[in-house]
Amino acid sequence: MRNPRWTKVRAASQLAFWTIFILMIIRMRFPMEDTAPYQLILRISAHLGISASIGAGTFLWSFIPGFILLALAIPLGRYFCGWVCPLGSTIDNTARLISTKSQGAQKKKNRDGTRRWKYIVLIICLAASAAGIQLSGILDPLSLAVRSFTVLYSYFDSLIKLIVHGVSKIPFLESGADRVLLLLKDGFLDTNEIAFQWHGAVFALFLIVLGLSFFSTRFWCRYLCPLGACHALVSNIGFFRRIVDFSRCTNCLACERECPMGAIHEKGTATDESNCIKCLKCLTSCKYDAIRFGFSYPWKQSKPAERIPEGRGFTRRDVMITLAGTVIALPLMKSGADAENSSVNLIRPPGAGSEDDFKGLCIRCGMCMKVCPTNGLHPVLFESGIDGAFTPKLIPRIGWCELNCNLCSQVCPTGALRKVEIDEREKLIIGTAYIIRDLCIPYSEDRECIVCEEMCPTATKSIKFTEETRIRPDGTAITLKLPYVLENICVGCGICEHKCPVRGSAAIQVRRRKHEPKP
Amino acid sequence: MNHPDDISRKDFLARAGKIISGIVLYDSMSPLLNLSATETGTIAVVQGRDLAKNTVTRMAREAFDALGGTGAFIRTGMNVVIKPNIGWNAAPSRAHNTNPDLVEAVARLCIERGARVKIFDRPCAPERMAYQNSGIMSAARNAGAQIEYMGNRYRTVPVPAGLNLRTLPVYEDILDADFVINMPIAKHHSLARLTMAMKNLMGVIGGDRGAYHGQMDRNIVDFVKAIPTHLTILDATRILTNHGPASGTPADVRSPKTIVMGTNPVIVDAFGATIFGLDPARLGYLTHASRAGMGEINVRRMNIIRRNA
Repeated sequence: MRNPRWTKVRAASQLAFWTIFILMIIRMRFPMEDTAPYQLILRISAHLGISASIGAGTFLWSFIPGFILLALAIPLGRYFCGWVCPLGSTIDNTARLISTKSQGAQKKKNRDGTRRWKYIVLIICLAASAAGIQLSGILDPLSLAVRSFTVLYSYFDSLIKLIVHGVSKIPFLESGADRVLLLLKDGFLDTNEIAFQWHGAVFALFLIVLGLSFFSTRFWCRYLCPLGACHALVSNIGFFRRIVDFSRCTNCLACERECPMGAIHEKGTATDESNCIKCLKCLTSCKYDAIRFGFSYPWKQSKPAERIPEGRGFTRRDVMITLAGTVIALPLMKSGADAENSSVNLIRPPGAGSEDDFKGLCIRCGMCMKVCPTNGLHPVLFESGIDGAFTPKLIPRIGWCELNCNLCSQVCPTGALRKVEIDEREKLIIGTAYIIRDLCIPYSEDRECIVCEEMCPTATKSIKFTEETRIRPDGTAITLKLPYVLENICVGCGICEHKCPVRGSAAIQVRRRKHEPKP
Repeated sequence: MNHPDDISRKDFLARAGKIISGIVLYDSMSPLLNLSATETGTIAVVQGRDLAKNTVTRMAREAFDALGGTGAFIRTGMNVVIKPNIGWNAAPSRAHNTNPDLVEAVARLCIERGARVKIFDRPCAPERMAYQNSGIMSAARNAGAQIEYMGNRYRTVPVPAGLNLRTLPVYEDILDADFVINMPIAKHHSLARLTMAMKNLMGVIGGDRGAYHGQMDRNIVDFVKAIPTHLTILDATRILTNHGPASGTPADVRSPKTIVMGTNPVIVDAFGATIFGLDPARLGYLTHASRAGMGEINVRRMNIIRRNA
């Protein structure tokens, strides 16, 4: 056993990055003076940088941090996956809960063919983004982690509130419980209730990614992760390598069994550098002190055994087949037959461009949904076609778009939502409110209401009313204020729909403008 | 044998003592019990020179002085609740929320008297944004007052002789406070015409507030009946004259640089209507309140102490 200190350093690195990640997810809310650190979470992914740049049609310099980290793989190898990636850390630490089998070698067996899957995934993702379909966002580990932990945070938030609420039912603990809740609301909980539409789908994908560990450790990282594929490609020429001292190695296979990435071959002597995440577990597993990590330049490697036998690698033929398959499959991902109908209620956040531009650039990270102070932004599933999965949508009945707020556009890491200034919010139309008279209280009953007008935040009110005197069944007269919407002023923020006191679906609803030309 | 109606000297003294102590107690507690409010229509109206923080601070002090100083209301160790309007995510200049400088000044005066001050409201806007962007969060912290979001503890209280309502869920901290200062801003409101002290009480009511908008005038009167407030300070340093309560152009904001202080919210609101140039008798909830004998709404019959600051 040799120098176990380094595995501890590595564990500390994972813990540190994971903790920072989680704290940032929690703190991703109003007030945010500077959104750049939050955007960095996604901008450290070179994969997202490439696909978003393809979507934008121009190189996005904001993703430079991702390319720097990728370039670091030349000296360091695939360190990112083992030391930094929050999803990798999550997979490492949940694997123990999932895997029931013993740490047997049969789990570690790395079939040569399957190793190229992640390159296929990467090619499909990038080819799709060239066609305006952002698959990358759905599968990128950082995007997936931010989105999933946003949903997990909503679970955590409701769970704690539920527990405190339960405690408050116990006599004498009521005030104390409420006090605790107020402290938590000031701290790491949300002030209002949060729940996301289709949270189950987001969570299910997350569970699948974690659950793959059942088949082999770090299954996702080995075979599927597109960012892992980017780093693997560069790591092939990485300098920082696992070096085996053949004079000491007894081919006991201890390291091969221990390796979570299945990167050790040839009875412990050869290393697949594209899969070695520098976790250093082999180092501590070796009883014969035969392994060390050090800089070894590929062009200087004399012994061929240090390099992995090629086997069934990723060939040009694979690339062509994948590309052809993607092109054939693309039409399947386009919007469904009912797209025109469902798009009427597809209210995008302020700053979104045309539907195609937006879908091409949105990497589905869910940060806009996390920062939205009203819980108004939610992921859609297939409303906008399969290619629109997990893009954000405003659901005003759950939470409106606060006019004195531009957090979602501030935090968007790709510019799918362009930076919107507060001053321009009054001009930026995201939808229009329409009154459903059969539900509206003053129209359908002889009672006052006008809550929608009261709430309307546009400077001169986009909801006005006419007065009408009616004779009630008992003969008395009542003068009612009947609301109507000024379509040219209404920006579609939806606070009227949210606050409408009618139960169930509101008597005033926001949708795309009636006369908006078809896209 | 003594006749049952006869009373000994000892009894007489004992009874007299009880009555006198009762009167003294009543007198000293009247601001707490809100009993003196209906009889006396005394309000203080302070006109400021400008909207500078110093001026607003002086205005608050002048208003208290006019009504007998903070000592007439606040005692050491009291739990004081200040309920400003923190309903909206808007800067002070837009006149949506109570002037934070005024909140800070009043909180400071109470704390100087040895009271503990707590400040809260139930915003229509997202809570964090309303608390921060109204400026009231930092104002409270500057003054050393406690500011917190509202929790879920509502107690259902009876509405004595309610016009519409029999019971009302009211926030516990309001009911349990020793002294409640209602601190609204004066604004236009399309349904109630003006929203001031009486309507401001909606912020401490639980349940679905939208439902109170049918027959709002009568409901507003019932809020005043059910919710104990001991002092009302109407912020008319800036007022919103149109498109209220939640929007408005810069032209809709006027600055009368005035605050109105009194123990009876009905009287304060009636005076407040005149700041907008409106006859109080034209406001539905004021006429309902006046008819119920809850306070004088005729400005000519009020006892107004005017000060400048």
